[in-house]
Amino acid sequence: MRRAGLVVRIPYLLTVSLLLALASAAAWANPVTTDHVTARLIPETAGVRPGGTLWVMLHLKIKEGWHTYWRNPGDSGEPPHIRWTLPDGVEAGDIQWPYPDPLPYGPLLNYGYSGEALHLVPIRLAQDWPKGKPVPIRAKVGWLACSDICVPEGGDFELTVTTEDGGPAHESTAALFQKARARLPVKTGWTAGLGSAGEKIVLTVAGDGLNAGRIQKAAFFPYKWGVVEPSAPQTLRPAANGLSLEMTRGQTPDSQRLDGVLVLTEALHDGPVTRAYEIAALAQGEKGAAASAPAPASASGTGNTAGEAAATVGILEALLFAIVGGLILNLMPCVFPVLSMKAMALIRHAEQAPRTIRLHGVAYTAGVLSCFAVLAGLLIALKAGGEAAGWGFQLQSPAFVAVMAYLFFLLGLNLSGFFEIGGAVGIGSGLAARGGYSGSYFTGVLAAVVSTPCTAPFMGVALGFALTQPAPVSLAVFLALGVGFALPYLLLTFVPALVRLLPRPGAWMERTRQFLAFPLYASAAWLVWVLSIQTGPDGVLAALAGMVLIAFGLWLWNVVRDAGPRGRLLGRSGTAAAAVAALALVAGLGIASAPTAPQPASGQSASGPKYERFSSERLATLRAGGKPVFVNMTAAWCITCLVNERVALSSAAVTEQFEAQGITYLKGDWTNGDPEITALLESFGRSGVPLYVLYGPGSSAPTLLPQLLTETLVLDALRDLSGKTKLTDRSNRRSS
Amino acid sequence: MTTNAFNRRDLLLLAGTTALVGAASGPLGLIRPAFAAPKIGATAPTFALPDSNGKTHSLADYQGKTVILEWTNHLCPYVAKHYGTSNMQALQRETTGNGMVWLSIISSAPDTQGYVDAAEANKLTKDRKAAPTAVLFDPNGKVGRSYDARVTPHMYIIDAKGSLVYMGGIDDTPTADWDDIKTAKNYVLAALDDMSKGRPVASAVTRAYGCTVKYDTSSS
Repeated sequence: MRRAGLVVRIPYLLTVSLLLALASAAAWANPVTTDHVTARLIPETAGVRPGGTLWVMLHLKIKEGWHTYWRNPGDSGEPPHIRWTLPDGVEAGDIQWPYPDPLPYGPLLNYGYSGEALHLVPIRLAQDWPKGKPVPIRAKVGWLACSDICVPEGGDFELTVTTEDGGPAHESTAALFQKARARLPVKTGWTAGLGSAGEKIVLTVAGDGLNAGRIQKAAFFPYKWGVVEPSAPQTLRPAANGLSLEMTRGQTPDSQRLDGVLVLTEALHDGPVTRAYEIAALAQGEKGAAASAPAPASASGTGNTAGEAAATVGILEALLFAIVGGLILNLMPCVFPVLSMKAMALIRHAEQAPRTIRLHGVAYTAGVLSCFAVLAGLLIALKAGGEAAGWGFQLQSPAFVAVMAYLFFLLGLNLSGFFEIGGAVGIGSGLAARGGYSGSYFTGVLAAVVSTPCTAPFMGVALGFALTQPAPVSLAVFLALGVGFALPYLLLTFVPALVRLLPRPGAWMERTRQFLAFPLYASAAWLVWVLSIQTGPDGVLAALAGMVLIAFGLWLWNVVRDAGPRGRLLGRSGTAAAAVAALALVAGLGIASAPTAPQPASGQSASGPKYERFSSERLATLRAGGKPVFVNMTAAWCITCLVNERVALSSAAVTEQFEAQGITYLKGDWTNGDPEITALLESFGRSGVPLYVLYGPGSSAPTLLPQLLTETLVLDALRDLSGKTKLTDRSNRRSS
Repeated sequence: MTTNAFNRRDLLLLAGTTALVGAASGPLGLIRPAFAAPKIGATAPTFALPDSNGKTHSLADYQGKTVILEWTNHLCPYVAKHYGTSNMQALQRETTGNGMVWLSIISSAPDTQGYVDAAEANKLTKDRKAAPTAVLFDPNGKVGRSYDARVTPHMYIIDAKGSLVYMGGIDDTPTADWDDIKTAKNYVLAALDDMSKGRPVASAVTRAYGCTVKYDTSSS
């Protein structure tokens, strides 16, 4: 074979391996060593039964600074290829490619591997292969090794396996296969859609537990060359029930479908976990994809980067985005009326000393910042406590949503002139008129509080990013958001010229004030709609009844204003009663439908072994009885956990093994935290899920399974356990 | 179920604010293309580069002629495949013989693979019996980048009117194996054939395969 003739000479060491392979009785293909790679062809087991499948690995150990390529090499390069020579009755399948790493070179980007490359290939042996007849496997393998320059290399391999059901060919082999399988893309039940926005294509992925806020890093690698520009940045955004990834079209785009591997790095308590997922996305509008994969946030077209963090956003960028995001918040329907009233108060009191006005501005800013700091602190604390808290977590409580709806309704009534707040902490002109800086401070707090429902949707990712960072960085991002939020008003108070630009006080102010009630009513209506989804018709009835009570209470308050002391007391008691009743109505909502629905005591996933709900007591009882136990600690927000259950714990083979070995499956749900689970996690030196522990029969030490499960890995662990079982049986027999 | 409810809520939240966010953040778009890719059918990027004999060639000089650009690096195994089998030289002879212009362009930066001086370039042409119209030097990579040339060999065809009509690989078999040339479909020949028959080029953009162009990465 002529290869790379002119300058790059290929070492002709290739056939040497053939002889060595033959000489060795073990089923190891001897390494082929080229200038840049040491290659081996390794069988997983020493033998394969007729009708069975043997997994073989092409293992490339790559010299430092060099790399080989994935099935789609990206901008340049070439994937390794294997040409098999197999007798009749032996058939090789396709290479199973572990997910690649992005390999930048100048302005270009390749997809490949450095360090080592692990290629798995299934080899099937026909049913009628004569038992006892050795199976010869031969392959001509070629690969391209590149650093700055590229060199095609290759070798001829031969190995022979028996038809016996041998165990692992080698101890280190098992580890290599495990490593390779952990990097193989897994199939998920997620729905994927392909959309387009100008020069960009948008991949949308939706699935249970797929929470974009927890994802630190996302990268998509297409199977086909030319459909995605390898070197262009990919932007991660949250989408309904999942995420979207915006990419740049490649040179030969395909608007109909996109197949490839999505590599996600999930932030878990014990560090990031990376896993690859197989994606087959159809154009949205095609059947299947459109129904359950909603349009991503970016479908509106414009480059909406603000407030949404790119997958690889830096700290400075995040801070900048947060400030810009804060500025934009002022325009939200929840906030704009509040801010406007504040600005009007400024106009009205423009004659005040500039210093006083400035101090009001500072007090307002302090109010905003303290509110954001408290929220950030709360979030960071929750996160540290194992909660799946993201920005907008408050909105997950129906009671909070209902109270916010009340608040907007109340503010709206105030602007409509339905009632005046005399002296109490409220919004609008009253406060600035009081001259109390505390008034301005609380206006700031209030403005920040009312802004939160509006923040969640589009600040989600930026703040999600913030929360994956160390606490000081998180806090800085939240405070930057507050600074941006307070900036317009602060500016007005510090630059009197700006106030002079605003219109003179007059009758228009009253009309504007009345008009501004409507965005607040709209916000209230929207929150009731949110509630209708969270709680159904009952919650809506409770909230609307509460609003009627509030309106009634306010009316009562006004009616008795000019009454005698007794009448006033009666009226005000009535108002208070109405307020309490309104709150009581929605307080029940929190309990009724908070996402803390208790887990069933036992259950069975769609497929997979039966499980019992974990309790440390149950575990202790089972262990005391010497029963084998499998413990799975999971959470609804943990992508890795859910995928592990799907790909590794739900198979028929695993269920069968659980039953055959009499293993009790205990499943603990840490979604809302649970001190018993936390204690067990800590006893294994873990601070979060997932955790998989296999307790063997008797009092043997528990086996800890890795955070990334594959079916083979679980089956291997179960087999090891049954090996121990036999051992235990034997020793028992001997002793009796 | 609660989970579902949240999902739909999220959807509403997104829908409700997308317009506002979009409008507010339009001017902030920070996305820049990784490459200024040339477009098929559009006027090809202009250039003026020195050749191995000190003469400057500008694209404008060849108005009215079909121009073929070949990005090259004689040490790249994929380039070696096409020169070692005389595939590239045959293509050069055939095209220049028919009045077309063939420009081999070297965008390797100094001290990187494939960078040669004028004398070496001429020696390579002689030794390999190559027949380009000229070998051009683009050591700072400006022209290569303007054409979005990514690999060697990366092929471009510019028609008599100065429009880019083809960009991509030399053939459809992305390997370094010399034997594959016999069975590969040559995209450049196919494109020239389409052009000679007055048809639009069927495969106007194809996968260019090979080694990365050894650009001066300090300026990227």
